[in-house]
Amino acid sequence: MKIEINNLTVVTKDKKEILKDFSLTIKAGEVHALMGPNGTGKSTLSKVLLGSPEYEVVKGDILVDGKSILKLSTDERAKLGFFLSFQSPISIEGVTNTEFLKTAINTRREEAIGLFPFMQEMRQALKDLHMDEDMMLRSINQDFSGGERKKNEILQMKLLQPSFIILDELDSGLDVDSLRICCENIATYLKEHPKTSVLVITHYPRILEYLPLNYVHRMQAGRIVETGDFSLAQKIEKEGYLSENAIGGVVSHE
Amino acid sequence: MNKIIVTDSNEENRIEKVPFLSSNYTFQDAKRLFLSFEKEKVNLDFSVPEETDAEVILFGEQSDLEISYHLGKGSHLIVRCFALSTKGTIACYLEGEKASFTYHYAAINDCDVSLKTAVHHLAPHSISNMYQHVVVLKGATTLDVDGIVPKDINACVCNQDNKIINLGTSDCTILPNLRIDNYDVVANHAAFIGKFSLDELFYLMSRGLDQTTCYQLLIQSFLFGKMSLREEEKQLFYSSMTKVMEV
Repeated sequence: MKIEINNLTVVTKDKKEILKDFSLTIKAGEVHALMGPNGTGKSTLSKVLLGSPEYEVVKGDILVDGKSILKLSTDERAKLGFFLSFQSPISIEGVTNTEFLKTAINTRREEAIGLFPFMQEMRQALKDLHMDEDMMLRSINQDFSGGERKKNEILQMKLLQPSFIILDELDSGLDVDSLRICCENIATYLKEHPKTSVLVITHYPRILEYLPLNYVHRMQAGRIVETGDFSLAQKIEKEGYLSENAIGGVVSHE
Repeated sequence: MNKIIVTDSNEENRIEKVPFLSSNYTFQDAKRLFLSFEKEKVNLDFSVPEETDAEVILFGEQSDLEISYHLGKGSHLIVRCFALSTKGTIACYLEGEKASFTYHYAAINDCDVSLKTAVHHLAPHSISNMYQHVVVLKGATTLDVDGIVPKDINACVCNQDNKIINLGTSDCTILPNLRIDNYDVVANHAAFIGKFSLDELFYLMSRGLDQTTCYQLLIQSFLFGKMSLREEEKQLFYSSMTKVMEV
């Protein structure tokens, strides 16, 4: 899936500008990382890509394989293959993971998945992620630890089989082992689905070490100001966003 | 159809022939009662004897319920009620020491509905926990909820949790009253009137569920999330909920 974000300007309901002429192209099979200081618009971008009603696109376009998706609702974008792993996944009491995921999977299939194959897929995914089987019967993220919630996002990703994955700070709240397990699962998924595109939003280079990374972008004040490879992530880790070198090293992004 | 199914302590079911629209019922060998009413005016009086555990599952549609529960010493009663546009007056009298009452009331209303609920703690160490969650599609709903502990009754727990999700345009009201005259009491109340969170809706839709399915899941979660329903209760409550939602 090829994603083109062209000159996107986005405002909140009270008309505060968050993204300004933001442009980025992610070709099929590419993994891009987006880094930047707090409040620069990274999470806003992830929500705008999924069509959040919290924001208004006032300029620019988002194209998927050449077609604009701006008029599509959130569920239509999900059915197209978009998947957002939330920074803070919410909990919903009374709706079990099984019930929710089976319903979600069936929205993407012409023929409903049978209970037995679904349970088989779910059990395997839980095993891959080192999660307990009782997670199947628990309410969505109810009483889950921060790490369990993040793993649950990757569980959903594995079962829903998206073609464009956005990971919004997957590494926050995960211990080193859980982060490695989640990333190994994502990397395996990418091997099995080589045309899947990925956008990783993060503050730290560690998560990028586990993924087949193509580009790192540095974002500042609502737009990309520098693009490079993994060494850019290392430079940001070492020097921060406020150091003279970091500011002096800004290259305009075309 | 109005009916009552009685489940005894051996988990055997039987249908009882009682003039149940206006009647007194004392739990004896019965462990669980399942009652269903449609378009009826119902006047019921339940008594739970000392040291008895009992459950009442109630489904009411467009009915008018007037129900009293009387609990003896050391008895435990759990009520799970799902009501569609049903008004009424519910009273619970905790008459024996250490009596315990857990009340789950879930409702969907599409007309003006008024519900008065009162729990009277008449013995020390008695416990009441009331959860009343209502989804309003149309019309105005009023929940008037009293928890009453007189001066000479101590060491009680008296909690109430009242929530209305208002999907319509009329004003809804919750009147949460804790009338506590004793210092040695644990009493809490929560009252909320509002809409579903947009974050919840966005999360569910981001997984490919359309808006109607998301609302169904959120309503199901809001109404029955705390209820611990049995499979047959789930089937009845969920199918009735879906039917109302489709309309």
